[in-house]
Amino acid sequence: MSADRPLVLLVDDEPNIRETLSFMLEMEGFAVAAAEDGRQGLEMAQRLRPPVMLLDAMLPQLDGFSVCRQLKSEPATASTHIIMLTALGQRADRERALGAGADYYLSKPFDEDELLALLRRLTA
Amino acid sequence: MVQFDNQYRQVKLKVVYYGPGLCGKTTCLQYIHRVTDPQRRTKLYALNTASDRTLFFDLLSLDLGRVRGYRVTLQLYTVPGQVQYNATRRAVLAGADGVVFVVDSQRSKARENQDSLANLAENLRANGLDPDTIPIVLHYNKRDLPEVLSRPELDQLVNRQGLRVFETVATQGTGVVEGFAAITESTVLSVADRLGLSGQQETLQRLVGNVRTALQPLLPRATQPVVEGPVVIRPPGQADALTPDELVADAVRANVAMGELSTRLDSLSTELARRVSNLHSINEFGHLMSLAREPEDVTGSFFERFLRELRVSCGTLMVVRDGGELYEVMRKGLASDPMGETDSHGEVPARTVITSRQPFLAQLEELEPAQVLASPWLDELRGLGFISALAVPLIAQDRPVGLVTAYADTTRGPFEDEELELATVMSSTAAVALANARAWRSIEQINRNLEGAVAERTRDLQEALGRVQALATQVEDRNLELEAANRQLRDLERLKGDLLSRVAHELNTPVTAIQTSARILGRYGEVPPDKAAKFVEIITQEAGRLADLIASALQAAVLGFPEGRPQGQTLPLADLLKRALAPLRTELSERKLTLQVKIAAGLEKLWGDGEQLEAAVRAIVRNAVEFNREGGSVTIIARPARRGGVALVELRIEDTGPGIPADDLPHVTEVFWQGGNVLTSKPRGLGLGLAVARRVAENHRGALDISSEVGKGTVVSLFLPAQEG
Repeated sequence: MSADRPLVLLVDDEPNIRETLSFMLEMEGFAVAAAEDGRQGLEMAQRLRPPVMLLDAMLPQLDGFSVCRQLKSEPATASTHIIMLTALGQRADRERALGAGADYYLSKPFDEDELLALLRRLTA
Repeated sequence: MVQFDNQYRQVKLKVVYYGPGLCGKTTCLQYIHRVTDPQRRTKLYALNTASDRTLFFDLLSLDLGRVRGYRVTLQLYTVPGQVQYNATRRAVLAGADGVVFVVDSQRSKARENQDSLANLAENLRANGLDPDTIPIVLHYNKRDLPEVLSRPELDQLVNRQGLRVFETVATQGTGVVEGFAAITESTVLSVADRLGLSGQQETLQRLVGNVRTALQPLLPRATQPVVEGPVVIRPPGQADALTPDELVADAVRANVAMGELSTRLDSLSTELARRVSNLHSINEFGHLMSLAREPEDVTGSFFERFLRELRVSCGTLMVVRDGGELYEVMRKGLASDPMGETDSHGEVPARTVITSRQPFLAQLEELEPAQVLASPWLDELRGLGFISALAVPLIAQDRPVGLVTAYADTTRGPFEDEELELATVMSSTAAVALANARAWRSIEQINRNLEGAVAERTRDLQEALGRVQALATQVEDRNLELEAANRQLRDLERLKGDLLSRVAHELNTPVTAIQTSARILGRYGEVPPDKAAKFVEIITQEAGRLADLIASALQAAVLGFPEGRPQGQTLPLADLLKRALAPLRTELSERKLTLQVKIAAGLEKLWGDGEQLEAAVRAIVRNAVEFNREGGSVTIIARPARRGGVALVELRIEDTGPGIPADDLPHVTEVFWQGGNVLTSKPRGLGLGLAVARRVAENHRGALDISSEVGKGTVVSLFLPAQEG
């Protein structure tokens, strides 16, 4: 991992989301790793131990909340900042996300500038 | 001297039979005594002194009945005729109102007759009476004897004044009664004269008539002589200090007093007997009334008894009804009662009597003209042959209850005051009994009404109770319904929540992709052309998806299609299918799927709601497209069918997808059911398609059939009506 390109692990089952977000993040100076389901995301997080993770809530195989809980409970991965993304904007989900240990919560469609600012802060 | 005894309303008239010794005075009295009704006369009293037979006279008292409201009593005296008894004669003559001078017709007695007559005049004057005005009647007695003077000779001898003469044979009674009648008449008229009634001829005539009427009942027994010896009363002995004359006068007075006392006693004891008899009647009647329960018993018993006690057979009984009207309940002996009818003055006499609260008694033969004018109905009654009218109001607790009338005719005789008393007592008793019986009847009626009312109230209450219970059951049912509705509502809420979440999620994902792509394209200048093209494609794709999702969401509104029969029309089948399939063409070609449409010959039309049918067909085909393998096929067959005897059109959509597992098959038409393996792929859409198709089928009274085999494919058949009906 190059110091000037912080790694962002992106976990989302929508290929178009992965494609567009990855491109944008790379353009913005981040290194991006992507997983397309919960299990893959968990495995990659454990392996890569990225500083920050964009985790979609609704995932096949293993949902985002469970992944989050799992990672947070492991000392090796507990320090990864987890930003949960979800299309469901309800407060219950927000609380659920935070309850699962997520550090931040963003609902789609999100403000990209806001996301970028947050990522920069977390990887500074 | 006429004596008015106002307390007893009696008038006593004194007639003295005068004449020489043994001329037949006593015999006259004895005869009268014998032939008169014992009820109407006393015994014949002969008064004697103990020591001297010189004081001797007879007394007979007769009841003439009523004359103008007074009971007239006639007292007949004789005097001792022998010369030496002059003191007695003088004493007896005191207060005489009339004299019968009995002449001994024998020739030998001529001188004695004259002397006696002179003596009479002398004694009359001595007593302050006028021989010329006092009524005197002459009896020429002993006409049966051989040596008697002729009538003219006797007239010459003793009748210079032209007095009335009766030739009598006292021993046989001949002429005695006639003479007695004559003196009575004259005496009464003379008394009336003194009372100032002489000016009224009519009254006097009636008076005479009354006397004659009064005498008639006295004399029915001429054929049955009863020999009754005189009653001898002996007063106690007197002292000798007085002169013989004084003694005689005293003794006579005492004897007269005694005689009168006896008379009084007799009449009192008669009166007493009458009252006792009345009391018995009242007692018995009271008992009878106490047994009567019903008002009708009271009136019936009372009326019958009333008429019986009064010894009449004509009368009426009227009662006062609740509203105050007078109503005749019983009548006997007359066609209609004038007292109960409105008279020529517009009044009802019965009412007047009731209002007065007093019994009413009228002697119809003694009416004044003024009375008749004021009460013309009295005249009516008189016209019906009645001589006496009695009306007694029935009052109980000062409230009028009725009126009873009784009418007496000549045969029966007029009503006496004592009878009025009895009538009043009976009426009072009956009034109270009647009031009581009515009250009892009212109470019983009230009781029955009360029972009825209670029963009714009870029924009402029970009914109300029943209704309340029914209501309670209804409320319970309603509650259960409410609970079910609540649950449904909660489910729907949840559903809505789910739906919203899904919609939000499904919409937000493409929006995010579009947004990011647009940003990339807009923000970053050095995007490589192939990448740029890719992002444009993403935008297009996601926009399409968005449109799809919006359509899906709109489909949810189809579930808001009203249930029930739609407004339908005949639709061309081919057109319908074309429209339904149009939006799916792109995806069909992307997935490289083959589409086949086969319409049976002759099948051109369909009936129903175009919008709904399009949505249903599209939804099914979309499923067939989405759940299909790459390079597979979608086949649509339209053919006629019959289900339940109804002509239908079957739209059969077959796909070559993975099929639906048997366990899932029953659920696929549920709302939000999303097919596909959730673990390996994310479902697209909202899972509403088949639910919509089912609703549409139901609305059109058609059907939706699904069959599937895992690994082979799925067949969905939609049955719709061929025509309206």
